[in-house]
Amino acid sequence: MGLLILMALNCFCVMFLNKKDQTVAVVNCFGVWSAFSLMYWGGSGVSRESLSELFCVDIYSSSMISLSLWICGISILVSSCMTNLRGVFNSYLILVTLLCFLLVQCFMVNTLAMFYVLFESTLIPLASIIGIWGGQIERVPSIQYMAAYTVGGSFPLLLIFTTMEVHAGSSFMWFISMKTTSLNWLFWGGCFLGLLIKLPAFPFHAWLPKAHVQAPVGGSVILAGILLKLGGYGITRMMMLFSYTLESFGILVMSFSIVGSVYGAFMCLRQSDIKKLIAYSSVSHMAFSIMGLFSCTEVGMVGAYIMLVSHGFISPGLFVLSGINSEMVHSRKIKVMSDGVRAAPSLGFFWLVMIMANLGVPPCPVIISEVLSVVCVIALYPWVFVLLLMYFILSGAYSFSLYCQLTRTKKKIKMKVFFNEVTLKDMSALYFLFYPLAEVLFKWDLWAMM
Amino acid sequence: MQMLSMIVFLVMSLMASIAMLFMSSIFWVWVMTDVGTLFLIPFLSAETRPKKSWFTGVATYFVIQFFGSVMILGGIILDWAIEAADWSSAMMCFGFALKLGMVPLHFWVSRSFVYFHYGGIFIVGAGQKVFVVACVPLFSDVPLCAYAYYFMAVGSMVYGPIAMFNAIAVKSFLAYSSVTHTGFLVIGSFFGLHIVYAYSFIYCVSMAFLVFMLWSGDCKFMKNLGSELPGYYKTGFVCIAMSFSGFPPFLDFCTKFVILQLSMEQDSTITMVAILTSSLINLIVWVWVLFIATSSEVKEPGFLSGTTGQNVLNMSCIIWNLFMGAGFSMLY
Repeated sequence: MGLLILMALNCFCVMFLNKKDQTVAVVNCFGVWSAFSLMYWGGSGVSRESLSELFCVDIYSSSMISLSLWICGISILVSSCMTNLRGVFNSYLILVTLLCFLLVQCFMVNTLAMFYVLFESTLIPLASIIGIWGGQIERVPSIQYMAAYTVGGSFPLLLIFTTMEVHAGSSFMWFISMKTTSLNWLFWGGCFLGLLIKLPAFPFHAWLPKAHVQAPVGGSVILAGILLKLGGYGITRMMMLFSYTLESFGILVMSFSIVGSVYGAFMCLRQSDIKKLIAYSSVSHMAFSIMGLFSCTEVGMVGAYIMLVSHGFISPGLFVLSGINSEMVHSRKIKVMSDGVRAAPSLGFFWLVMIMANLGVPPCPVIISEVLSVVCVIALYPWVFVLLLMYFILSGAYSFSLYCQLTRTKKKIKMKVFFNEVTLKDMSALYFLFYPLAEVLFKWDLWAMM
Repeated sequence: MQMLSMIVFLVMSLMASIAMLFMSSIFWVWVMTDVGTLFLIPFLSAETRPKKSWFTGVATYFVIQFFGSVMILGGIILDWAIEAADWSSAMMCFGFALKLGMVPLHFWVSRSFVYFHYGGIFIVGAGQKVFVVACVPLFSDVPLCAYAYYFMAVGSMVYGPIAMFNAIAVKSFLAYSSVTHTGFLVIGSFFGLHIVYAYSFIYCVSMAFLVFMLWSGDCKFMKNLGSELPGYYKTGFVCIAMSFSGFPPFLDFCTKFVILQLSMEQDSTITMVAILTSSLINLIVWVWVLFIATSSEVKEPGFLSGTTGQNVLNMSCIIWNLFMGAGFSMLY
């Protein structure tokens, strides 16, 4: 609760600042809030500082809260450098701050009903961001896709918590274990469908590439950085609430995820649009989180959360780079973006680092997550290793292909770039995304303290 | 003078409708319904620039209401004369469904609404319907009629948003929105009159805001909504659209959630599926409307840029849609 009060008070103070200073002030506020949220990080169990009537936080919640605050700050930082945000920039500040406020509450609430309300409410600011600052007329269908998939998929969850409210009198998520013998596929499907769509899990991923392509850079940063993680967090809470164990439903979901990871990597190979490529790579990476979560092992849980948090920094980093690069050449086509890399060679270096991080090259924490998730899945059925091997090959292939296309030197036509300098201010968002990855690397066993 | 006569006839119609709520006999309910409808005719016909089209719309409305009343009266007389409860209930069910404009007897709604003025759309689409819904007998003695009435309401809930998608004119859009909400009202009546009164109040206030904003911009076609809707009302319109989309924590989500909860308590699976289906289609429709309304080629005045009255109305609309949901949930 203290964090929310601090956020509200800071926002109130920022309102009285000069419009030019508000952007810097808000970014600094996000930094302060992120630091404040570290207070909730404790040992295993519930954080004593967070305990109240409405809210309850443990290590999973607190890591997501800190990630939300950090990513939303990065989103504002990167958007302030972009020239494609038309209209009043302050509206963007308000929407992002509101979205962050809703997200933080979503990760803190202790009832399923409030979690659902906040889960759906986060769609409103994001849809507004895409609708106002989206690139093309196709942003309307992309918003409709996103809304229909998310809201439609979570209708069964609405029924479930309504049933809890009606029959049990409460949908309190903590310290309640509702065990019944009548639990079956329909129930588990209802519990997890909306959250799997949010992640997004194969085959419910169709909305993500459309949303990413139409969203501005800041919107993509938030969507990839934190909004997808809502699904993973929700799955954790639902498993905790209903004492989910390894069941046939979970094995089916894991099977789809394994296929989804290979599918995502294959689709990445075929893409010429950088944002769609990053979107499909998100589908691949989230598949590992799903595998880890549904394996119902501590190792799997640790692997899943390492992936969720690491991906929360790497994917926005890729979007930041694609935003800077595409602004230089006014195109999202990978082949055209190579002109920008040639004009600003430092971009080539950053692309290399982010692509390697995305691929899972050590010392990036993604490799730890992938190893742990693979261990969990192979423990169930060893021959799955063949599909996972295909994924590793394909992911290496698309990463290598992307880097080669971006940095190719042979060009017949004279290059056209709109500016050929990338300053420290442009790259500041990227630097702030590198640092937390190092933290995750050194503290990767944080989620193991159960 | 024209405005005064409109107000007088409207008040008389309202009085008849309120009196209808206190009638214990179905015959007097029928009388008051017809009296209310008759007083609405001059109100609907009143227009500062009379055109043939207004009378066409009112004529359609009057003929349909008259036919519906004939069916209801026929049913009453039949029951009184030969005590044929089945046929009587069937005729009354048909009559009330026709008057309310429920699927599949909704064909007149759009045809009439297109020719009404916005005040008429609000009164016929929201005001009059809530009184009629509150007074309709639920045909519990004839299960076939009760099921028919129920399924017509379910059909209205599901069909309405689909038809809204195809609406070209704003008034046609409002007509099908009215069909959808009529379905919700009738479903609510199966759970108790208290939910009908609560939903009616919320629906009428929300529709009043929506209709007033559309009237102030003289909006005709959906595709021109962005340019015709006044800039100082756009924020309020966005809130209404988000509310009608069914996004929590806006008001319309809370009201639909209450009906969903009641249907769950009654183990009414069909109602739950219908509510969810309707909500999903409604969401897509209103996202589309939201986009159209907020897109404009001309730079417009923004939030709080109108007169004091306009700003007050805009803020009231925002507060109503944003915060009344929580209030309603706490009170209910």
